[in-house]
Amino acid sequence: MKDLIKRNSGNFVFLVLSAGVFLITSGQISSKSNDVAEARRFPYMMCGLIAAMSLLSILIDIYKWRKKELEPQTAEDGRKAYAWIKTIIAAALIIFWFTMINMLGFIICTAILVGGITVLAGNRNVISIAAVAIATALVMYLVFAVLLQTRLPEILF
Amino acid sequence: MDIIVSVLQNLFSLQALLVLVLGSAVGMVVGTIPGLSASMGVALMLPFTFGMEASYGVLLLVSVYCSSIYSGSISAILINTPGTSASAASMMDGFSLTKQGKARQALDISLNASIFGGIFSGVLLLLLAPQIAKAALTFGPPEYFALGVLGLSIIAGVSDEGLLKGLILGGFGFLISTIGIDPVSGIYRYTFGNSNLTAGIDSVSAMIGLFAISEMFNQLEIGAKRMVQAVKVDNEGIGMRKMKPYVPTMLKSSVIGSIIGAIPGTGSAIAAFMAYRQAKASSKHPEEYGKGSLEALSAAESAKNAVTGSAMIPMMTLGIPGDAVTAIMLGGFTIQGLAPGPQLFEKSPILVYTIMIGFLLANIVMMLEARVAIKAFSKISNISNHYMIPIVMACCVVGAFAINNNLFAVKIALIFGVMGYILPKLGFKNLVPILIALILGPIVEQNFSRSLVLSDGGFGIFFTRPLSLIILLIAAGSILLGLRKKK
Repeated sequence: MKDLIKRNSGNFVFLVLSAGVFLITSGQISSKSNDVAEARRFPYMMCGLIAAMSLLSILIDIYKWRKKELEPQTAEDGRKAYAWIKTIIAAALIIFWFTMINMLGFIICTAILVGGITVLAGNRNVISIAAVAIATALVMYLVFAVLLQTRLPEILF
Repeated sequence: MDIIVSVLQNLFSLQALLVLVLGSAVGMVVGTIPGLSASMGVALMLPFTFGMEASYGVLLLVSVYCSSIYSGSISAILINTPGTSASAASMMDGFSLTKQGKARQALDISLNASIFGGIFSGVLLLLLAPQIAKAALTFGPPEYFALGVLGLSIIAGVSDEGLLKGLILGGFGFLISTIGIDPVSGIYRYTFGNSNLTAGIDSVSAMIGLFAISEMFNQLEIGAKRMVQAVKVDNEGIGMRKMKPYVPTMLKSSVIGSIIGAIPGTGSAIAAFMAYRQAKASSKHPEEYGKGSLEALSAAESAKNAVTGSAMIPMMTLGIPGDAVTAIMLGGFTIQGLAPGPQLFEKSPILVYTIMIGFLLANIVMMLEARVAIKAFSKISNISNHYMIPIVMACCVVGAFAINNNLFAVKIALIFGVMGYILPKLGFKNLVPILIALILGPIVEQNFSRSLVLSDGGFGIFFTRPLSLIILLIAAGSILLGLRKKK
């Protein structure tokens, strides 16, 4: 039973998601005009499709489970426990980049992002980390701001 | 005869060759960096054309266009992130080949097929431009809707984990594509008062998150030393001679790409997916598709670049741009004081043929430049993750920002990155259906609603117009064929 629930966790997520979006759609897309039905048509159709397919997947798995045809799930490829913490730190570094860039500037923020992720990638050599971080930030600045004329946040340092 | 001599004099001048070399190089840089689109590359070059002679100015834009559409596949093959949305279909097989140590082969196939498609559509541009433009204009909303449905039918083909999962993800992608202003009624959907969401979710930042950022998260988690592990990198490339087995596929795909490209408002992404689907349906080895098939890659690549020439057909013959890039190129024509349309052929035949033959030359110059670049690019898969992950992550973040000079795109990329990291853990490993639906969703919805407006709400419009009916039948047939082959 546990395996069945674990196997269908994705389907449950999509089932809840489609129900949530359906409720938001009926609440949020509101207007006095006659076009409301039109604006809601495709979101409703897609919510229906997602819910129906998720439910069908769950039912098929329950049927197979009762008939004992369900193959045991294979384990994930030897990932270390808490390895996902690295993902959270990497995501936090990206959040830092886009929240601080207007204050610290492009080069400093990019260097911190690159340096942080280099450490997460397993590099422990301080000189190498600093070199990668600074060089990447400068090259990015040259490519985007100078060569491609992209308007990067104005404060350089 | 005088015209031919003048055209050749124009094209084989030092200025023209320099312009082509520069344009191809810029296009390659722009196309390879995720987040920078072909339209951005062409727009970037537009100011440089001010002081140029008309033919050279347009040639510069043409070479940037061809090269950036091609080179979007380089990052798709090497780091699982299409540089432009046109290369999304190449990502599945391209990156699988890189993981097998065949990055060089994948890059070679991609280049050769792109050149094939580009030259094929260039010849069409030269020979059949006015006729194709007239035929393409017969497309109305029902036909566009049918075309979108045909594109969506690819989901059945790429869902190797089962059709149900493919439909769930496709529906999810479609749902995301409805964020923003409803195309017909103008009502805001799921914007939650955020003005950044009114234009909807940008497919490129979604792509960067879904495939590149999530891949980097995974690499960090696994702690692998290299992105491509324990596989000997095969340095043996694929020359033009070894392309023989793929010629029929490339030919069919180039025809598909040329037809799609000539229809205004479609673009390379839809052509590449349709050619991929068609090639899979007629392949002797459909089971290899999505797992590193050279044939699949050749199909997507040739169709993608076949769009470039044919998208110029409605622009040059009728003054109607085929896609976003040709819309900007139309601006380039205006800068030069030219008015594309039937009169352009009568008033400036030398210029017109310089551009058309120059298009073929641009593809050849691109091939020569790319041959040199590929040798360097194919070694990227050998770089240690200590350097690769941070550099790719920085490219993704800055690339997402560069799409519209907007930090909101970075937030979107991060959200999709987290989504791309979590969904495989929930049993949804192949996320391509989300991307297909995200790209094609707006085309389908917009034209569905417009068709219903035309028919006063009657669904018969899709089945009473011959072209629309034929395309819908092909879509139904390809889904059934795909399901049958899977069984």
